[in-house]
Amino acid sequence: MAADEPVLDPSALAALEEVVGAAASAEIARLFREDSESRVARGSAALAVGDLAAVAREFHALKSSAATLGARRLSALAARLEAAGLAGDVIVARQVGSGLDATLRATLDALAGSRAAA
Amino acid sequence: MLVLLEGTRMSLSRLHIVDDDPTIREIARRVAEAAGFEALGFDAPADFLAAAASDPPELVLLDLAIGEQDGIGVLEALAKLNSRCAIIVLSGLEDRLVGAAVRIGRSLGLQMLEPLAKPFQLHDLRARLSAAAAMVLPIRESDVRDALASHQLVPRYQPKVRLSDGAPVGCEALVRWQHPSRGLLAPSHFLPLVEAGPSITPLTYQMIERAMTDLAAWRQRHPGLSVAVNVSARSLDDAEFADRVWEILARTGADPSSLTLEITETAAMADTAAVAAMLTRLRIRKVNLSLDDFGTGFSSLVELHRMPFSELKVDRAFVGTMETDRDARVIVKAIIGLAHTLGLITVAEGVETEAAMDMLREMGCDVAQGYGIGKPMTAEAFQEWLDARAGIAAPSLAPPPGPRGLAHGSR
Repeated sequence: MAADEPVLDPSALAALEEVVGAAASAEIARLFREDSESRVARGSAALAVGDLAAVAREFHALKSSAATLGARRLSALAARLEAAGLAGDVIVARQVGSGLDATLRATLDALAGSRAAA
Repeated sequence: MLVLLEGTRMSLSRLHIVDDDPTIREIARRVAEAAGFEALGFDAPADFLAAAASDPPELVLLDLAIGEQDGIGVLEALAKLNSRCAIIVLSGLEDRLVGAAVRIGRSLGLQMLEPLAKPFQLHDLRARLSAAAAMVLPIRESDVRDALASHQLVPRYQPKVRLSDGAPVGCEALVRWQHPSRGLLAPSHFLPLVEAGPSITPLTYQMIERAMTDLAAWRQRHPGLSVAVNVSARSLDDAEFADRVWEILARTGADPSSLTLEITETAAMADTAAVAAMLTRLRIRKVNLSLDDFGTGFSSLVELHRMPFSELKVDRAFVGTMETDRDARVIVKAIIGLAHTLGLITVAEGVETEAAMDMLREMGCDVAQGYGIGKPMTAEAFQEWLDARAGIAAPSLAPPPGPRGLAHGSR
Protein backbone atom coordinates (compact mmCIF):
# COMPACT_ATOMS: atom_id res chain seq x y z
CA MET A 1 0.00 0.00 0.00
CA ALA A 2 1.20 3.46 -0.86
CA ALA A 3 0.16 4.74 2.56
CA ASP A 4 2.71 2.41 4.16
CA GLU A 5 5.55 4.28 2.49
CA PRO A 6 7.13 7.24 4.29
CA VAL A 7 6.19 10.60 2.78
CA LEU A 8 9.79 11.64 2.40
CA ASP A 9 12.99 9.64 2.67
CA PRO A 10 15.57 12.23 3.75
CA SER A 11 18.52 10.14 2.58
CA ALA A 12 17.66 10.79 -1.08
CA LEU A 13 17.77 14.54 -0.54
CA ALA A 14 20.95 14.24 1.48
CA ALA A 15 22.57 12.35 -1.41
CA LEU A 16 21.36 15.00 -3.83
CA GLU A 17 22.87 17.77 -1.72
CA GLU A 18 26.10 15.88 -1.40
CA VAL A 19 26.42 15.42 -5.15
CA VAL A 20 25.24 18.78 -6.49
CA GLY A 21 25.39 21.11 -3.48
CA ALA A 22 22.73 22.86 -1.44
CA ALA A 23 21.83 25.61 -3.89
CA ALA A 24 21.32 23.24 -6.82
CA SER A 25 19.32 20.77 -4.76
CA ALA A 26 17.02 23.60 -3.56
CA GLU A 27 16.52 24.55 -7.21
CA ILE A 28 15.76 20.94 -8.11
CA ALA A 29 13.27 20.69 -5.24
CA ARG A 30 11.58 23.88 -6.49
CA LEU A 31 11.30 22.46 -10.02
CA PHE A 32 9.88 19.26 -8.63
CA ARG A 33 7.22 21.16 -6.67
CA GLU A 34 6.06 22.95 -9.82
CA ASP A 35 6.22 19.89 -12.02
CA SER A 36 4.53 17.52 -9.60
CA GLU A 37 1.66 19.98 -9.08
CA SER A 38 1.09 20.34 -12.79
CA ARG A 39 1.43 16.60 -13.40
CA VAL A 40 -1.05 15.79 -10.67
CA ALA A 41 -3.43 18.41 -12.10
CA ARG A 42 -3.09 17.01 -15.63
CA GLY A 43 -3.28 13.43 -14.41
CA SER A 44 -6.38 14.17 -12.34
CA ALA A 45 -8.03 15.91 -15.30
CA ALA A 46 -7.23 12.89 -17.49
CA LEU A 47 -8.66 10.63 -14.81
CA ALA A 48 -11.86 12.68 -14.67
CA VAL A 49 -12.47 12.28 -18.40
CA GLY A 50 -11.28 8.66 -18.43
CA ASP A 51 -8.20 9.22 -20.66
CA LEU A 52 -6.23 6.33 -19.19
CA ALA A 53 -3.31 6.56 -21.62
CA ALA A 54 -2.67 10.10 -20.41
CA VAL A 55 -3.08 8.93 -16.81
CA ALA A 56 -0.39 6.27 -17.35
CA ARG A 57 1.94 8.76 -19.04
CA GLU A 58 1.70 11.49 -16.40
CA PHE A 59 2.08 9.15 -13.47
CA HIS A 60 4.90 7.19 -15.10
CA ALA A 61 6.96 10.39 -15.13
CA LEU A 62 5.91 11.40 -11.62
CA LYS A 63 6.84 7.95 -10.31
CA SER A 64 10.48 8.41 -11.31
CA SER A 65 11.04 12.02 -10.33
CA ALA A 66 9.28 11.56 -6.98
CA ALA A 67 11.35 8.47 -6.17
CA THR A 68 14.59 10.22 -7.15
CA LEU A 69 13.88 12.92 -4.58
CA GLY A 70 12.82 10.38 -1.94
CA ALA A 71 9.09 11.20 -2.15
CA ARG A 72 8.29 7.55 -1.65
CA ARG A 73 4.58 7.68 -0.85
CA LEU A 74 3.83 9.87 -3.85
CA SER A 75 5.99 7.66 -6.05
CA ALA A 76 4.18 4.53 -4.89
CA LEU A 77 0.82 6.16 -5.53
CA ALA A 78 1.95 7.28 -9.00
CA ALA A 79 3.16 3.74 -9.75
CA ARG A 80 -0.28 2.35 -8.88
CA LEU A 81 -1.98 4.98 -11.01
CA GLU A 82 0.33 4.23 -13.91
CA ALA A 83 -0.44 0.50 -13.58
CA ALA A 84 -4.19 1.13 -13.39
CA GLY A 85 -3.91 3.43 -16.40
CA LEU A 86 -2.03 0.80 -18.39
CA ALA A 87 -4.52 -1.88 -17.33
CA GLY A 88 -7.39 0.33 -18.47
CA ASP A 89 -9.01 0.02 -15.06
CA VAL A 90 -10.77 3.32 -14.53
CA ILE A 91 -12.45 2.21 -11.30
CA VAL A 92 -9.20 1.28 -9.57
CA ALA A 93 -7.50 4.36 -10.99
CA ARG A 94 -10.17 6.65 -9.53
CA GLN A 95 -10.07 4.82 -6.21
CA VAL A 96 -6.29 5.22 -5.98
CA GLY A 97 -6.49 8.75 -7.34
CA SER A 98 -8.75 9.85 -4.49
CA GLY A 99 -5.73 9.95 -2.18
CA LEU A 100 -3.61 11.92 -4.60
CA ASP A 101 -4.17 15.51 -3.49
CA ALA A 102 -3.55 14.75 0.17
CA THR A 103 -0.36 12.82 -0.63
CA LEU A 104 0.93 15.58 -2.88
CA ARG A 105 0.24 18.17 -0.16
CA ALA A 106 2.01 16.08 2.49
CA THR A 107 4.98 15.58 0.14
CA LEU A 108 5.34 19.24 -0.71
CA ASP A 109 5.00 20.21 2.96
CA ALA A 110 7.68 17.73 3.91
CA LEU A 111 9.92 18.98 1.11
CA ALA A 112 9.40 22.57 2.21
CA GLY A 113 10.49 21.61 5.68
CA SER A 114 13.57 19.78 4.48
CA ARG A 115 17.04 21.20 4.16
CA ALA A 116 17.02 20.99 0.39
CA ALA A 117 14.20 23.48 0.18
CA ALA A 118 15.64 25.82 2.76
CA MET B 1 12.12 23.89 -27.14
CA LEU B 2 15.66 23.95 -25.81
CA VAL B 3 15.02 24.06 -22.14
CA LEU B 4 18.30 24.69 -20.39
CA LEU B 5 21.14 26.47 -21.96
CA GLU B 6 23.26 27.54 -19.06
CA GLY B 7 26.52 25.83 -18.41
CA THR B 8 30.13 26.73 -18.21
CA ARG B 9 31.85 27.35 -21.54
CA MET B 10 35.30 25.96 -21.29
CA SER B 11 36.90 23.17 -23.20
CA LEU B 12 34.17 20.90 -21.89
CA SER B 13 32.31 18.34 -23.88
CA ARG B 14 28.58 18.34 -24.02
CA LEU B 15 26.01 16.04 -22.59
CA HIS B 16 22.59 16.09 -24.22
CA ILE B 17 19.76 15.13 -21.90
CA VAL B 18 16.55 14.10 -23.61
CA ASP B 19 13.80 13.71 -21.05
CA ASP B 20 10.49 15.49 -20.67
CA ASP B 21 10.63 15.52 -16.90
CA PRO B 22 12.09 18.85 -15.73
CA THR B 23 13.17 17.49 -12.35
CA ILE B 24 15.10 14.60 -13.87
CA ARG B 25 16.59 16.90 -16.48
CA GLU B 26 17.76 19.38 -13.89
CA ILE B 27 19.24 16.67 -11.67
CA ALA B 28 21.09 15.16 -14.62
CA ARG B 29 22.28 18.59 -15.73
CA ARG B 30 23.66 19.51 -12.33
CA VAL B 31 25.37 16.17 -11.82
CA ALA B 32 26.80 16.29 -15.36
CA GLU B 33 28.27 19.71 -14.71
CA ALA B 34 29.90 18.40 -11.58
CA ALA B 35 31.38 15.61 -13.72
CA GLY B 36 32.89 18.08 -16.18
CA PHE B 37 30.24 18.35 -18.88
CA GLU B 38 28.40 21.23 -20.35
CA ALA B 39 24.85 19.89 -20.20
CA LEU B 40 21.98 20.68 -22.54
CA GLY B 41 18.44 19.59 -21.72
CA PHE B 42 15.73 18.84 -24.26
CA ASP B 43 12.13 17.97 -23.50
CA ALA B 44 11.22 17.06 -27.08
CA PRO B 45 13.06 14.57 -29.32
CA ALA B 46 12.56 16.77 -32.40
CA ASP B 47 14.45 19.67 -30.82
CA PHE B 48 17.25 17.39 -29.75
CA LEU B 49 17.54 15.88 -33.23
CA ALA B 50 17.56 19.31 -34.87
CA ALA B 51 20.43 20.32 -32.58
CA ALA B 52 22.22 17.00 -33.15
CA ALA B 53 22.06 17.44 -36.93
CA SER B 54 23.98 20.71 -36.84
CA ASP B 55 26.32 19.97 -33.93
CA PRO B 56 27.05 16.27 -33.29
CA PRO B 57 26.49 15.19 -29.67
CA GLU B 58 29.16 13.31 -27.74
CA LEU B 59 27.15 11.74 -24.96
CA VAL B 60 23.38 11.47 -24.76
CA LEU B 61 21.19 10.58 -21.81
CA LEU B 62 18.02 9.37 -23.48
CA ASP B 63 14.72 8.66 -21.77
CA LEU B 64 12.85 5.87 -23.52
CA ALA B 65 9.38 7.19 -22.77
CA ILE B 66 9.33 10.87 -23.65
CA GLY B 67 5.75 12.06 -23.22
CA GLU B 68 3.78 10.51 -26.02
CA GLN B 69 6.91 9.62 -27.96
CA ASP B 70 9.47 6.91 -27.54
CA GLY B 71 13.25 6.82 -27.61
CA ILE B 72 13.56 4.23 -30.38
CA GLY B 73 12.74 6.85 -33.00
CA VAL B 74 15.54 8.97 -31.59
CA LEU B 75 17.97 6.05 -31.90
CA GLU B 76 16.94 5.50 -35.52
CA ALA B 77 17.36 9.18 -36.32
CA LEU B 78 20.80 9.27 -34.67
CA ALA B 79 21.83 6.25 -36.73
CA LYS B 80 20.71 8.09 -39.90
CA LEU B 81 22.91 11.00 -38.86
CA ASN B 82 25.79 8.52 -38.59
CA SER B 83 26.21 9.67 -35.03
CA ARG B 84 29.26 8.44 -33.19
CA CYS B 85 27.92 9.60 -29.83
CA ALA B 86 27.72 7.38 -26.78
CA ILE B 87 24.21 6.83 -25.49
CA ILE B 88 23.01 6.00 -22.01
CA VAL B 89 19.37 4.95 -21.97
CA LEU B 90 17.48 6.28 -18.99
CA SER B 91 14.38 4.46 -18.06
CA GLY B 92 11.76 3.68 -15.50
CA LEU B 93 10.51 0.87 -17.73
CA GLU B 94 11.09 -2.81 -17.09
CA ASP B 95 14.52 -4.25 -17.77
CA ARG B 96 13.41 -6.36 -20.70
CA LEU B 97 12.18 -3.32 -22.64
CA VAL B 98 15.31 -1.37 -21.81
CA GLY B 99 17.47 -4.31 -22.90
CA ALA B 100 15.58 -4.49 -26.19
CA ALA B 101 16.14 -0.77 -26.79
CA VAL B 102 19.86 -1.15 -26.13
CA ARG B 103 20.07 -4.06 -28.57
CA ILE B 104 18.22 -2.08 -31.21
CA GLY B 105 20.66 0.81 -30.76
CA ARG B 106 23.61 -1.55 -31.12
CA SER B 107 22.16 -3.17 -34.21
CA LEU B 108 21.87 0.33 -35.68
CA GLY B 109 25.60 0.75 -35.11
CA LEU B 110 25.27 3.13 -32.17
CA GLN B 111 27.56 3.14 -29.17
CA MET B 112 25.17 2.10 -26.40
CA LEU B 113 26.54 2.29 -22.87
CA GLU B 114 25.08 0.44 -19.89
CA PRO B 115 21.56 1.86 -19.28
CA LEU B 116 20.61 3.75 -16.13
CA ALA B 117 17.43 2.86 -14.30
CA LYS B 118 15.16 5.58 -12.97
CA PRO B 119 14.76 6.59 -10.23
CA PHE B 120 18.50 7.16 -10.11
CA GLN B 121 20.67 6.71 -7.16
CA LEU B 122 22.49 10.04 -7.25
CA HIS B 123 25.86 8.49 -6.52
CA ASP B 124 25.40 5.99 -9.34
CA LEU B 125 24.52 8.76 -11.73
CA ARG B 126 27.59 10.71 -10.72
CA ALA B 127 29.88 7.69 -11.05
CA ARG B 128 28.42 6.80 -14.43
CA LEU B 129 28.78 10.32 -15.78
CA SER B 130 32.32 10.64 -14.47
CA ALA B 131 33.23 7.36 -16.12
CA ALA B 132 31.56 8.43 -19.35
CA ALA B 133 33.32 11.79 -19.16
CA ALA B 134 36.65 10.07 -18.92
CA MET B 135 35.71 8.07 -21.97
CA VAL B 136 34.22 10.69 -24.22
CA LEU B 137 35.92 13.92 -23.28
CA PRO B 138 38.84 14.57 -25.55
CA ILE B 139 42.10 15.10 -23.72
CA ARG B 140 44.74 17.05 -25.57
CA GLU B 141 48.44 16.77 -25.10
CA SER B 142 48.54 20.36 -23.82
CA ASP B 143 46.01 19.43 -21.07
CA VAL B 144 48.37 16.72 -19.91
CA ARG B 145 51.32 19.12 -19.97
CA ASP B 146 49.34 21.55 -17.80
CA ALA B 147 48.39 18.72 -15.49
CA LEU B 148 52.04 17.76 -15.12
CA ALA B 149 53.04 21.37 -14.39
CA SER B 150 50.34 21.70 -11.74
CA HIS B 151 51.19 18.34 -10.15
CA GLN B 152 47.86 16.72 -11.01
CA LEU B 153 49.64 13.59 -12.23
CA VAL B 154 50.11 11.72 -9.00
CA PRO B 155 51.37 8.32 -7.93
CA ARG B 156 49.29 5.57 -6.44
CA TYR B 157 51.22 2.75 -4.83
CA GLN B 158 50.42 -0.92 -5.30
CA PRO B 159 51.89 -3.15 -2.58
CA LYS B 160 54.21 -6.07 -3.20
CA VAL B 161 54.71 -8.91 -0.75
CA ARG B 162 57.27 -11.63 -0.41
CA LEU B 163 55.54 -14.90 -1.16
CA SER B 164 57.42 -17.06 1.32
CA ASP B 165 56.00 -15.25 4.37
CA GLY B 166 53.72 -12.48 3.12
CA ALA B 167 56.03 -9.71 4.34
CA PRO B 168 55.66 -6.37 2.50
CA VAL B 169 58.74 -5.61 0.39
CA GLY B 170 57.63 -2.38 -1.24
CA CYS B 171 55.35 -1.18 -3.98
CA GLU B 172 55.05 -0.06 -7.57
CA ALA B 173 54.27 3.61 -8.26
CA LEU B 174 51.48 3.89 -10.83
CA VAL B 175 50.47 7.22 -12.31
CA ARG B 176 46.95 8.63 -12.04
CA TRP B 177 45.52 11.98 -13.07
CA GLN B 178 43.79 13.76 -10.22
CA HIS B 179 41.58 15.72 -12.59
CA PRO B 180 39.92 18.79 -11.04
CA SER B 181 36.47 18.06 -12.43
CA ARG B 182 36.57 14.44 -13.56
CA GLY B 183 38.06 12.72 -10.57
CA LEU B 184 40.86 10.21 -10.63
CA LEU B 185 41.62 9.14 -14.19
CA ALA B 186 43.27 5.83 -15.02
CA PRO B 187 46.40 5.90 -17.18
CA SER B 188 44.54 4.50 -20.19
CA HIS B 189 42.85 7.90 -20.55
CA PHE B 190 46.02 9.92 -20.85
CA LEU B 191 49.22 7.89 -20.78
CA PRO B 192 49.29 7.08 -24.51
CA LEU B 193 49.17 10.86 -25.15
CA VAL B 194 51.94 11.49 -22.65
CA GLU B 195 54.08 8.76 -24.12
CA ALA B 196 53.72 10.23 -27.57
CA GLY B 197 54.58 13.75 -26.44
CA PRO B 198 57.35 15.66 -24.71
CA SER B 199 55.95 15.21 -21.18
CA ILE B 200 56.90 11.60 -20.67
CA THR B 201 60.43 12.19 -19.45
CA PRO B 202 59.54 15.04 -17.04
CA LEU B 203 56.71 12.81 -15.77
CA THR B 204 59.15 9.96 -15.14
CA TYR B 205 61.44 12.25 -13.13
CA GLN B 206 58.48 13.67 -11.19
CA MET B 207 57.26 10.16 -10.37
CA ILE B 208 60.71 9.02 -9.21
CA GLU B 209 61.08 12.09 -7.01
CA ARG B 210 57.60 11.73 -5.48
CA ALA B 211 58.14 8.01 -4.92
CA MET B 212 61.52 8.48 -3.23
CA THR B 213 60.13 11.23 -1.01
CA ASP B 214 57.19 9.05 0.04
CA LEU B 215 59.52 6.09 0.51
CA ALA B 216 61.67 8.09 2.95
CA ALA B 217 58.56 8.59 5.13
CA TRP B 218 57.56 4.90 5.01
CA ARG B 219 61.09 3.73 5.74
CA GLN B 220 61.11 5.54 9.07
CA ARG B 221 58.87 2.80 10.42
CA HIS B 222 59.45 0.14 7.77
CA PRO B 223 63.10 0.04 6.74
CA GLY B 224 64.12 -2.14 3.83
CA LEU B 225 61.21 -1.21 1.57
CA SER B 226 61.74 -0.35 -2.09
CA VAL B 227 59.70 1.41 -4.76
CA ALA B 228 59.43 0.57 -8.44
CA VAL B 229 58.81 3.28 -11.05
CA ASN B 230 58.01 2.68 -14.71
CA VAL B 231 60.37 4.08 -17.30
CA SER B 232 59.28 4.41 -20.91
CA ALA B 233 61.47 3.82 -23.92
CA ARG B 234 61.33 7.53 -24.73
CA SER B 235 62.86 8.48 -21.38
CA LEU B 236 65.81 6.24 -22.10
CA ASP B 237 66.50 8.40 -25.15
CA ASP B 238 67.44 11.22 -22.80
CA ALA B 239 71.23 11.09 -22.67
CA GLU B 240 71.05 12.65 -19.21
CA PHE B 241 68.72 9.99 -17.84
CA ALA B 242 71.18 8.24 -15.55
CA ASP B 243 72.55 11.53 -14.23
CA ARG B 244 69.06 12.89 -13.58
CA VAL B 245 68.04 9.77 -11.67
CA TRP B 246 71.24 9.99 -9.67
CA GLU B 247 70.53 13.66 -8.86
CA ILE B 248 67.06 12.78 -7.59
CA LEU B 249 68.48 10.02 -5.40
CA ALA B 250 71.04 12.45 -3.98
CA ARG B 251 68.44 15.18 -3.42
CA THR B 252 66.03 12.88 -1.63
CA GLY B 253 68.80 11.12 0.27
CA ALA B 254 67.47 7.78 -0.93
CA ASP B 255 69.39 4.54 -0.91
CA PRO B 256 69.88 3.68 -4.62
CA SER B 257 69.04 0.05 -3.96
CA SER B 258 65.59 1.14 -2.76
CA LEU B 259 64.69 2.25 -6.30
CA THR B 260 63.69 -0.18 -9.00
CA LEU B 261 63.25 1.07 -12.56
CA GLU B 262 60.76 -1.03 -14.48
CA ILE B 263 61.49 -1.18 -18.17
CA THR B 264 59.29 -2.96 -20.68
CA GLU B 265 60.71 -5.40 -23.15
CA THR B 266 59.83 -3.01 -25.94
CA ALA B 267 61.77 -0.22 -24.25
CA ALA B 268 64.71 -2.49 -23.60
CA MET B 269 64.66 -3.48 -27.25
CA ALA B 270 65.50 0.10 -28.23
CA ASP B 271 68.83 -1.37 -28.94
CA THR B 272 71.48 1.23 -28.62
CA ALA B 273 74.81 1.00 -26.94
CA ALA B 274 73.98 4.27 -25.18
CA VAL B 275 70.91 2.79 -23.47
CA ALA B 276 72.82 -0.29 -22.39
CA ALA B 277 75.63 1.89 -21.03
CA MET B 278 73.21 4.12 -19.14
CA LEU B 279 71.38 1.22 -17.53
CA THR B 280 74.63 -0.45 -16.65
CA ARG B 281 75.87 2.73 -14.94
CA LEU B 282 72.72 2.86 -12.84
CA ARG B 283 73.00 -0.82 -12.02
CA ILE B 284 76.63 -0.46 -10.92
CA ARG B 285 75.39 2.20 -8.52
CA LYS B 286 72.92 -0.39 -7.10
CA VAL B 287 69.71 0.91 -8.69
CA ASN B 288 67.57 -2.15 -9.48
CA LEU B 289 66.41 -2.77 -13.01
CA SER B 290 63.29 -4.79 -13.64
CA LEU B 291 62.19 -6.21 -16.96
CA ASP B 292 58.47 -5.46 -17.01
CA ASP B 293 55.64 -7.43 -18.65
CA PHE B 294 57.96 -10.32 -19.40
CA GLY B 295 56.67 -12.75 -21.98
CA THR B 296 54.59 -10.30 -24.01
CA GLY B 297 57.35 -8.80 -26.14
CA PHE B 298 59.61 -10.33 -28.71
CA SER B 299 63.25 -10.44 -27.80
CA SER B 300 62.89 -11.60 -24.22
CA LEU B 301 65.77 -13.99 -23.90
CA VAL B 302 68.23 -11.82 -25.75
CA GLU B 303 67.39 -8.84 -23.54
CA LEU B 304 67.72 -10.86 -20.37
CA HIS B 305 71.17 -11.79 -21.42
CA ARG B 306 72.29 -8.40 -22.74
CA MET B 307 70.91 -5.89 -20.23
CA PRO B 308 71.90 -5.76 -16.54
CA PHE B 309 68.46 -6.59 -15.12
CA SER B 310 68.12 -7.60 -11.48
CA GLU B 311 64.45 -8.55 -11.56
CA LEU B 312 61.88 -9.96 -13.92
CA LYS B 313 58.13 -9.33 -13.78
CA VAL B 314 55.91 -12.12 -15.04
CA ASP B 315 53.13 -10.56 -17.08
CA ARG B 316 49.59 -10.56 -15.72
CA ALA B 317 48.37 -12.20 -18.90
CA PHE B 318 49.94 -15.47 -17.74
CA VAL B 319 49.38 -15.03 -14.02
CA GLY B 320 45.71 -14.15 -14.48
CA THR B 321 44.94 -17.29 -16.45
CA MET B 322 47.28 -19.86 -14.93
CA GLU B 323 44.68 -21.15 -12.46
CA THR B 324 42.52 -22.44 -15.29
CA ASP B 325 44.92 -22.66 -18.21
CA ARG B 326 47.55 -25.37 -18.01
CA ASP B 327 49.69 -23.79 -20.74
CA ALA B 328 49.80 -20.48 -18.89
CA ARG B 329 50.83 -22.37 -15.76
CA VAL B 330 53.66 -24.11 -17.60
CA ILE B 331 54.84 -20.78 -19.02
CA VAL B 332 54.85 -19.09 -15.60
CA LYS B 333 56.79 -21.95 -14.10
CA ALA B 334 59.31 -21.91 -16.95
CA ILE B 335 59.80 -18.13 -16.67
CA ILE B 336 60.40 -18.38 -12.93
CA GLY B 337 62.90 -21.18 -13.46
CA LEU B 338 64.68 -19.29 -16.19
CA ALA B 339 64.86 -16.11 -14.13
CA HIS B 340 66.25 -17.92 -11.12
CA THR B 341 68.86 -19.65 -13.24
CA LEU B 342 69.96 -16.20 -14.38
CA GLY B 343 69.98 -14.99 -10.77
CA LEU B 344 66.99 -12.69 -11.14
CA ILE B 345 64.29 -11.98 -8.57
CA THR B 346 60.83 -12.89 -9.89
CA VAL B 347 57.76 -10.73 -9.35
CA ALA B 348 54.33 -11.95 -10.46
CA GLU B 349 51.84 -9.19 -11.28
CA GLY B 350 48.08 -9.46 -11.51
CA VAL B 351 47.80 -11.80 -8.51
CA GLU B 352 44.16 -11.78 -7.50
CA THR B 353 43.44 -14.91 -5.54
CA GLU B 354 44.75 -16.95 -2.65
CA ALA B 355 44.98 -19.95 -4.99
CA ALA B 356 47.24 -18.01 -7.35
CA MET B 357 49.44 -17.02 -4.39
CA ASP B 358 49.76 -20.66 -3.36
CA MET B 359 50.55 -21.75 -6.88
CA LEU B 360 53.24 -19.08 -7.30
CA ARG B 361 54.74 -19.89 -3.92
CA GLU B 362 54.99 -23.53 -4.92
CA MET B 363 56.71 -22.52 -8.16
CA GLY B 364 59.28 -20.60 -6.14
CA CYS B 365 58.23 -17.12 -7.26
CA ASP B 366 59.73 -14.48 -4.95
CA VAL B 367 57.30 -11.57 -4.91
CA ALA B 368 53.62 -11.01 -5.74
CA GLN B 369 51.63 -7.93 -6.64
CA GLY B 370 47.96 -7.60 -7.56
CA TYR B 371 44.45 -6.77 -6.40
CA GLY B 372 44.48 -9.88 -4.23
CA ILE B 373 47.25 -8.27 -2.18
CA GLY B 374 46.34 -4.62 -2.46
CA LYS B 375 44.96 -2.16 -4.97
CA PRO B 376 46.92 0.96 -5.90
CA MET B 377 46.54 3.45 -3.03
CA THR B 378 47.72 6.85 -1.82
CA ALA B 379 51.01 7.22 0.05
CA GLU B 380 49.06 7.67 3.31
CA ALA B 381 46.94 4.60 2.70
CA PHE B 382 50.06 2.59 1.91
CA GLN B 383 51.59 3.73 5.21
CA GLU B 384 48.47 2.45 7.00
CA TRP B 385 48.57 -0.77 4.99
CA LEU B 386 52.19 -1.25 6.13
CA ASP B 387 51.38 -0.40 9.75
CA ALA B 388 48.60 -2.99 9.74
CA ARG B 389 51.19 -5.60 8.73
CA ALA B 390 53.87 -4.34 11.10
CA GLY B 391 54.17 -7.75 12.70
CA ILE B 392 55.59 -9.16 9.51
CA ALA B 393 59.21 -8.19 9.12
CA ALA B 394 60.27 -6.78 5.78
CA PRO B 395 63.95 -7.34 5.23
CA SER B 396 65.44 -7.25 1.77
CA LEU B 397 64.82 -10.22 -0.44
CA ALA B 398 66.84 -13.32 0.01
CA PRO B 399 68.57 -14.19 -3.23
CA PRO B 400 67.12 -17.09 -5.13
CA PRO B 401 69.49 -19.95 -5.84
CA GLY B 402 71.50 -19.16 -8.93
CA PRO B 403 74.97 -18.59 -10.22
CA ARG B 404 74.62 -14.82 -10.48
CA GLY B 405 73.94 -13.90 -6.90
CA LEU B 406 75.60 -10.54 -7.36
CA ALA B 407 72.80 -9.52 -9.65
CA HIS B 408 70.41 -9.16 -6.73
CA GLY B 409 69.00 -5.86 -5.69
CA SER B 410 69.60 -6.46 -2.03
CA ARG B 411 73.36 -6.62 -2.35
